[in-house]
Amino acid sequence: MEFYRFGLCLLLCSHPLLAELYWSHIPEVGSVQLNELSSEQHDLLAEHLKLSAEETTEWLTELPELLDALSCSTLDVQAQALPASVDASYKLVGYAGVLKLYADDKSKKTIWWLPWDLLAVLAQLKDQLTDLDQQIHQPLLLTEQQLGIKGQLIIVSGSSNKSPLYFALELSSLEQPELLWSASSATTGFDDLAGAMAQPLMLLHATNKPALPAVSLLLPNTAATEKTLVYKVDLNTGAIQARLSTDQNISELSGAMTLYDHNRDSNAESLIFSTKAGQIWLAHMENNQFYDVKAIADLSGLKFSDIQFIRTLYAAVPVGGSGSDFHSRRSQWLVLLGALQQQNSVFVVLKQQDGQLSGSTDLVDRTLPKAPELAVLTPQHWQHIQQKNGWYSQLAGRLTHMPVVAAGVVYLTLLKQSADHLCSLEQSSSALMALHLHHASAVYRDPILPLDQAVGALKVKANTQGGFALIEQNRQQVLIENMLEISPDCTHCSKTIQQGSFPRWQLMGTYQNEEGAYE
Amino acid sequence: MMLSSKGFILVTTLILMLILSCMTLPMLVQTQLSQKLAGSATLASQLKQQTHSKHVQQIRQLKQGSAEAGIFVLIPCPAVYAAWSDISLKCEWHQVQTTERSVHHQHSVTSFLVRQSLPEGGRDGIL
Repeated sequence: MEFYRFGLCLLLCSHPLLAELYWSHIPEVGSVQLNELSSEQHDLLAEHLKLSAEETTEWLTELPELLDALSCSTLDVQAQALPASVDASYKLVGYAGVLKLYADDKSKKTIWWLPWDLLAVLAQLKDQLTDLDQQIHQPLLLTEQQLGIKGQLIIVSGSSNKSPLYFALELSSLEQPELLWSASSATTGFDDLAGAMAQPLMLLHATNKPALPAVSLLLPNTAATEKTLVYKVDLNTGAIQARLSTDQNISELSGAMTLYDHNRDSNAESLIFSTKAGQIWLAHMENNQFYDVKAIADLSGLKFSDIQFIRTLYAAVPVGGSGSDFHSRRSQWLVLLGALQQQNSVFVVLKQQDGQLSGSTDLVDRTLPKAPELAVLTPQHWQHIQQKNGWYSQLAGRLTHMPVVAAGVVYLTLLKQSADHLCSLEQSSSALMALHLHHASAVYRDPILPLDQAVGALKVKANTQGGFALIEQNRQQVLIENMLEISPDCTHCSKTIQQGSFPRWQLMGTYQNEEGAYE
Repeated sequence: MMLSSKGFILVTTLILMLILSCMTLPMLVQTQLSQKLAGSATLASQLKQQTHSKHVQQIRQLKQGSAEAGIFVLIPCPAVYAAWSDISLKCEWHQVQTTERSVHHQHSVTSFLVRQSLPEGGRDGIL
């Protein structure tokens, strides 16, 4: 009887461990499944956790509950789908270093990747996830198209507990994740790595062999007072190739940055990054050199607590004169910035001008009023926007995804978390917002479209009526049936995008050449 | 006396004939030249027009998809008022060249066009 009871208990206790897979990487041993440890590995784990063998067994049985408590459904909204070469039904989300691979299909096992250094502090991660002042950056996925190696998937992520850590994981199949490399302040060359984990950035180099592009990564260092701002490392080994450091006073870098192709030759030659307070900097890069670091904007007047993302967009910006006239527009780069102001956020569109430092007073406040019908753009306002360096709009909630700019309309997905239940998706409200790229007014009848549930990444898809629909990628849910396109004919002009209008041809120039003579 | 006067008339006639032919010949040459000149302009403009109409036709065929341009490469899209995020809109650079020749003359017209297409699907926006 006793034996049966023991057997039943063992079955019940071990059941949650069987339903999910827990991977970690023991230094000098390799990838291990925490539920299938050998006695030696068990001892190593006990030593690492500073627990006795029995306590470690207990810790292992409690691990599912610990990770359940860590799960944050408001972060799951940001999950990225894995490429079809691995398994398209799986999604990946990062909880400040802990990676969760899960599928909506309950028959598929959830796979966890627990960085070895984080095992002892798993319970503390929740505090980071629920810190509204900060952005939790999601892992960078490098697919076979980007790597040029069939069937390969590399996940680059990081964790940020006391001593931050960056790591790259190779995931050719879901059964066997392999750690390619990891870097923390204990690793040679990364001595001044501190602060929180940030968004890694992929950098492609043109090589003599175009079939295999050389891939590097840029890893920001977000420490309060650091010497190195950005590390440039090799994707496969994690070896440092270059460092960005400056004697200028740049403190508390945010984890968001972007590459910038100033001369539009398809090779990015600059890097745009920002401090948490909103000072935006630009650094030039060439091969393994960073040089000429200069400030391009100082938006610290807007009181940001962190930056969610920075991106650039090339557009024909209206600069005055009659609307449809070609000369009334100027081709230029825009910097799109999403920033956090505690539980709310701000979306900024900044005109990037060389040699000019924009301040927050150079931007026009285009926050939508509480009653959308009050949002009227007067000719004076419009003139003001054209003369100034851009606009900003304060938003209720956080942005869950990178905004999609389609036909001059900025689509933003917002999530407003409940103050008491920050990780509960049921208690939060979400909305889709559509703003005019050039003056942040409503393009559709309602600028804000409330959503029943939070949505994933947005996608443009052809519809059956000959136009385009805005859909949500995961569930293929149609959010906007017929998408509109802004037109330069007048300030508020818009029309439905027609499939028939593509492909569009634009004549860039014609020249003639004459040779010879008549006799 | 008679002989010398006869000789004088012959010489005078010959001189007169020389003067006349000196006057007529350049006039003939000039007429021919100006005719040629006038003709060349017509020929040149004919050739130009021919090249142009053929070029326009080539561009039309390219836009309809029934012809292909000599060179095409992917480029970053030119700035448009209704801008798109990088990956949504795809741009190709096409070069169309039309050359027409006559015996000793050639005229060519080259146009550069950008084809903007919208492959379905946007960027997977992650933060």
